Amino acid sequence: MDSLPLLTIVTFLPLVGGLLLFAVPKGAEGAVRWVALATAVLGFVVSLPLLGYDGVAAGMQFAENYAWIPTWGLTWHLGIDGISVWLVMLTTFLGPIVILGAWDSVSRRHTEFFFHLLALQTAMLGAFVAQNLAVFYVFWELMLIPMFFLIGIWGGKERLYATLKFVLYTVFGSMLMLVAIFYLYWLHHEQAVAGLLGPAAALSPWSLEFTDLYRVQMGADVQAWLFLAFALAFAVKVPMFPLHTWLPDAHVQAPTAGSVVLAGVLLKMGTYGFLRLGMPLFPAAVAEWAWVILVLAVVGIVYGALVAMIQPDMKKLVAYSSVSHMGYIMLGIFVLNPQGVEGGILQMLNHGISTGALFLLVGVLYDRTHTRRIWDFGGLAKVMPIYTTVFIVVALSSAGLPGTNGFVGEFLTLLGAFQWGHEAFAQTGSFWSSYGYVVVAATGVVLGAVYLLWMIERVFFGPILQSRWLGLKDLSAREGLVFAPLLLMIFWMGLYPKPFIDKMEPTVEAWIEQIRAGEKKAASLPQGFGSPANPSGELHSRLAASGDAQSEGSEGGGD
Amino acid sequence: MMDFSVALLYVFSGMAVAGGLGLVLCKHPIHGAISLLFSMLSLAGIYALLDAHLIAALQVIIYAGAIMILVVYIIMLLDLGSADAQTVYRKAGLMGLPLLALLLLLLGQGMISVAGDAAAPPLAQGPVVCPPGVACETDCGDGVDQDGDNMTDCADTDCAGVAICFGTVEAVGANLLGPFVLPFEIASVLLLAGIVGAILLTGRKPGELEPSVPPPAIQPGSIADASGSSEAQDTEGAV
Amino acid sequence: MGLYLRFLPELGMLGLALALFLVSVTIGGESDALDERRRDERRRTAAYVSDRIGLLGSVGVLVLAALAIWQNGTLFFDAYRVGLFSQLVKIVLAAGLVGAMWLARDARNIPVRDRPEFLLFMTLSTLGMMMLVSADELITFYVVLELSAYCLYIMVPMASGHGSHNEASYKYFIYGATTSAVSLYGMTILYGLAGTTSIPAIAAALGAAPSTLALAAVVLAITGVLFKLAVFPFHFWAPDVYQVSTHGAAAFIAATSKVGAVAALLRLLLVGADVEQLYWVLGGLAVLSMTFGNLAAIAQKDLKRLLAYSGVAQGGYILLGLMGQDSAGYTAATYYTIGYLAMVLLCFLVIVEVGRTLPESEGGRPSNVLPISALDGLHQRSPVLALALLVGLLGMAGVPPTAGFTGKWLLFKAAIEVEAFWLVLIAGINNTIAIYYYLIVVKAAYVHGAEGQPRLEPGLMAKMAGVGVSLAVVFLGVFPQWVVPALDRAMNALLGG
Repeated sequence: MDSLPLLTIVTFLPLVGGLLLFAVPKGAEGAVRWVALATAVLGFVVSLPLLGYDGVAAGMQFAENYAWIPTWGLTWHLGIDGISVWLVMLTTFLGPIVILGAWDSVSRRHTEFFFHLLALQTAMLGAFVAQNLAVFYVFWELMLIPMFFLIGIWGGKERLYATLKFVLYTVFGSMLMLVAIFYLYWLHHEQAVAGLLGPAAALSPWSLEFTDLYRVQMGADVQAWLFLAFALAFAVKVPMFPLHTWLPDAHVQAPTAGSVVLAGVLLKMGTYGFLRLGMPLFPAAVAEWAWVILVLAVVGIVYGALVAMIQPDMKKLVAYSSVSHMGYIMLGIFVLNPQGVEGGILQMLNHGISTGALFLLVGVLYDRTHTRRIWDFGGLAKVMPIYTTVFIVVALSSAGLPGTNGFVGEFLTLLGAFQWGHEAFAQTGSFWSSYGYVVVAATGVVLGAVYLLWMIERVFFGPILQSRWLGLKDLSAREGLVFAPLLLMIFWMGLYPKPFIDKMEPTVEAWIEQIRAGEKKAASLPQGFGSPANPSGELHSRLAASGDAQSEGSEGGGD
Repeated sequence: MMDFSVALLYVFSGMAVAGGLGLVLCKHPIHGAISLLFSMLSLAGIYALLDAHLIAALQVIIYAGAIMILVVYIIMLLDLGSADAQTVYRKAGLMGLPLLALLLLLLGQGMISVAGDAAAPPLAQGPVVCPPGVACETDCGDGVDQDGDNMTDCADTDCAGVAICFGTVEAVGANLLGPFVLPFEIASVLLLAGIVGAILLTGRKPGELEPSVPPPAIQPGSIADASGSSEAQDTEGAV
Repeated sequence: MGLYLRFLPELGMLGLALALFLVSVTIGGESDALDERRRDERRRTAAYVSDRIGLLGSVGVLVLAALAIWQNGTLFFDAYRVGLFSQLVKIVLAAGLVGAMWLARDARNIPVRDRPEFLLFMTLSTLGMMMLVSADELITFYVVLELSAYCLYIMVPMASGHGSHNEASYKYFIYGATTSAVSLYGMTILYGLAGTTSIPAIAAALGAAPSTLALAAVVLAITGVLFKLAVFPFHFWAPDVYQVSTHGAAAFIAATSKVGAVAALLRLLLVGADVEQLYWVLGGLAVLSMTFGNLAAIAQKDLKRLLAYSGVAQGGYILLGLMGQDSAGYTAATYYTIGYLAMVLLCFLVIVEVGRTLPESEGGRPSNVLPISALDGLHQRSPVLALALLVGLLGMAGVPPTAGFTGKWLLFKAAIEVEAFWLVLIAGINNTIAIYYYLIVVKAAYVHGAEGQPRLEPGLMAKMAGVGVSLAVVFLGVFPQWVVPALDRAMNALLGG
């Protein structure tokens, strides 16, 4: 924070560029696109120094902390760790690609379209780098507005229904989260005033810093309620089965660029929320209720894949495949071992790249043919060989073919789940509540291959069903430029994922350690500790006062 | 055993309530007006019993006298018969009655609960307590102007709150131009607004009130006088 | 001089009212000696002059109010208390009056000849509100409450046809008169209990453990103000009144008078400063108000009706801050109200401008409706107005970074400090509902096309006002520390004595 406020710049650069768009004179759509593209490219370039993140040292880096309203605990506190650095990079990386991909496909209101895309970029980046819950929440909510417009103005026929459904689902979740945030805010205040959180916290009892809130002490039952509120907000965003119903609607109706951003980055906001907030804040609740999430994740994997299989609409198929893939991420995160979590995070990046690319590919085809129905096509390989090649590569990476990025993520995730099952089996001795998860999840891999290959077969091979497809143009140079970096990433991450994993590994390990420690600490607290009736644990402090040195020690050493 | 004046107080109160009920329930406007008169007079009786003689007199002159005559005049001039009685508020009555009962219950319970305590008498009985360093009328019953401000006894604002001065013309006057001078003055602004409002809403020439007569040609195309028998815009959607 | 300075904003308002009154009786005076053309000319002159006087005068009052901000002390035998709280609110009220005066500058459906009176009532009503904030004595409080309310009762029928079967005006007047009578009844019981009409003395006399009667009396006494705030059981007038009044009058009722109501409620609640049961009463009203207002707003097709119901819900949010009767909550409520004033004025700016393009009467009756569909394609017809509407609506929906978000943040924080967790939960769910209907309006403005809609040509001033107030809403939201500490001090002073 002594030098350049790099994260602030990275975050707000797209928004500033977006505002500049309005300075472009009317009727100069070309200029608008170029300014937008330049902004996004510049945003990516500016974010490149973030790759200098020191993976060995781990912890928060590039931190910025400015007082905003310190007495209320509101600070402009940004920072990235080994997890968020990759998500920030993913966001800035996809930025120019999305804009380039939407180059010709927007027919009206160009300025606003690109403004909303760039504003969305700012909101997403802000949420990834925030280290203060208020800042996080502000950006979290801000994401909705541009997305509402992107789907609502430039979407398909049912766009209004889809966009309202999307917004209301998300807002409902985040309102519950807001209430829980306020509860935590209050609880931190009560405990800090009571001296439970050490002398530093007692001086500024109102705080929303992530690190301060991690130290708030709660019994397992209190944690469970708050976890429920946070988890609902994040699960809607992920989306987890059975809260996923907004996703297919939103994807199908959204313009291509909206779909790409939605699938590529926005969904990660949910899993990131679990990583950053849901789990470290409420470790005891995670320990107790992880099985529910795991069951839902596995159900989501299989359900998403099965439903994807029967979709007649290519975009809807990809949307349901998202439900399936997001299930892997949740599975990986919640098994709580390094392989699983790293696999989950890698899968977040993979899904962003592969599914984003799939949506772009479907969009390319839709721009040319104005249809997305699988049975309208057939034999496209003959007229669009390059397109077909790219599509197949991307689809296979999405299906997890070895050598592509999808394989690494899915493999690590399943490995983590297997290990978790191994440990669980040693404890419970029951097959289905231990190995069962990984067995069922693994069938998702097979199903994924099935629906993707089946789609490829029907669309690209066989006879050309309609003569009007004969004149279809193959990928243009601009489109090639869109897909080249995506293909590069697919193979890079598939063949040499080490740099990615190396940077995140210490962070992930520290993160798991933190959750395990928090779980133990919460177990030592009585039930109802931190509830409205017993916010600062009178019972607890009485024990401490009577000379129980151990509990005294555990209180002092918060973190 | 009840004091005679207390018994009278109950009688007057009962009559006032009965008059109010009559106003609401009577179908014929004149009956309603007479009930209101009845209620007003009973209130005057209550004021008199409470030693507020000036207020009692004003009540009779202004309310029971002037205002009631106006009301009756209007009823006669407009020739309102019982046929015009509206029944649209029956539903409102159905909703209002339980609320009224609840309110009565609450207040009754409250009244009874404080009846036992000898509530602090509202008026100071003893000599006036002066803030230190300020001269004031310390004895309001001796005919001497203690603080030398040319106002003796009850005429001095210092005595406005003292029991022996209560209800006298002097005390009311001293109160109005003393502690309550602000509301007294603001009431004049309120009256001004009332007069202007009354002229504005009713003081148009007859032709301008008629919905059927188009606005005079003097303001072609202007927005003036879009009056008429307009209903409120329909209340669709109102829950 | 010091004493005059204490009363400066009110004196300014009185002067403005007097000026408007003089215009009304001199230039605007009717005389049979004049022929009709001359008479018409004079009416127009009167309207023109009073418009200018009203706008400039209210700006002048704003300056006077700002000059008097540091005044402190009492006036008129302690009946009138001037302090940071009252002076801050007076500034806000004066600003609200400037906004409403400007929005009412060519009031639709108000006959030209009535314009001076229309502005006179607006001024007098604001004067009443300004005095409400300082009234430290129940009789004063009641008289100025009536002053502020009575003027509003007249402003409504002025725009919607004289003297005839105007349901909304009757409804407003009768409900208003009834609630103020109930209020008066409560105040008499308070006097009976305490033996004084001074608000601090009553609070002291009621003490910490008041009887049921005292609780009932306080609740009855605040109904008159709750009516002005249009909180749930007292809200019936709001939708109809908003809909039939001319847009300027509706803006005044929806924005400025809400500020007055909140401030008056803060002042009046001081009588029950130690009555703990009020927590439940106000909390219950908050829940009912939020829930009812939001649910009813969903079904609305008319923008002004929608704003009325959303106002009912917003009143509920504001009550969240009042229920704890502590300075944090009062600060939150006042801050939120200030932001709300700006956001409502933004919405009404759009309503007034769009309203110009709609026919003035329908079927021979004056029409002041504004269907949401009239906003279709606003983003093309006037991007600035569309932006103003967006900021106003998103602010009310509590979306960051507007003052609406920060205000809700403060309100929720205040509520959670008094451990009203369930209320915060209900408020959160309610906010979700609210976002739905605000987005319906945003959708009309931004998503729908402008086909078949009349052209919109907002003047330079309107554009500047839209941008300026929008920026203010955002600025207030991002930098609450510019306002909140002052409010905090004001509230501490208010509660401390």
